[in-house]
Amino acid sequence: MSAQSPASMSLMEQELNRAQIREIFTSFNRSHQRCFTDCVNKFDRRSVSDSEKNCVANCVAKYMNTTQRISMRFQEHQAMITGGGAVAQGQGK
Amino acid sequence: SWFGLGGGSQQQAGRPPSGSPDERLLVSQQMLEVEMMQDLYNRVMESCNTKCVQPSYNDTELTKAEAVCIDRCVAKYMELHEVVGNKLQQISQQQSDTAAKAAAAVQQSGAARPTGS
Repeated sequence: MSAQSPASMSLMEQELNRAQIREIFTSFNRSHQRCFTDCVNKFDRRSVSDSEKNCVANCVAKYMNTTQRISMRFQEHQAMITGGGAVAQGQGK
Repeated sequence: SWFGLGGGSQQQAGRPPSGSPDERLLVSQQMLEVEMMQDLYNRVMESCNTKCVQPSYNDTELTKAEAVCIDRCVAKYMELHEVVGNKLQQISQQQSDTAAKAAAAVQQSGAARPTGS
């Protein structure tokens, strides 16, 4: 979290901060659930096997690559929409 | 906590005055952690229900097999919580190391260039 005192952080900054943290932990929980679902299928014992741990570790790395790529493309599309909109407005004048 | 959020250590040392912006920030940080735990809880619930309980509803009671499966499912899920956390930390560490190296390389190449005037 920011080291700024709350008084100096605007309300908007604080809320954005919270939203960002919420996004991070939700993504974490989501990847955990997805990888658990895909990698753990046997419940013959309580402890996690090494192959399950491996699978989960790889899954998490892959999940991160996936979300980063999606995020990149999403931002590109956003830029296209807003940038394209501005160009269209200019042309309409 | 995994995030280092929440004022666990701050609770003993001087609590901020009630209603102050500092206290509000502290409370909102702790609430985020509560939210995270609730989300985790919901996901364990969903996962182990799906994994362990067969969708045939002739009986209301859990079979012994289902009960044992649930116990082990929760145990495994929580054990993996740490594995996932460590892996994510490792990845973000690697990424910030790579970024730092790239930044350093850019700086160096900039310094090596002769200043034209």
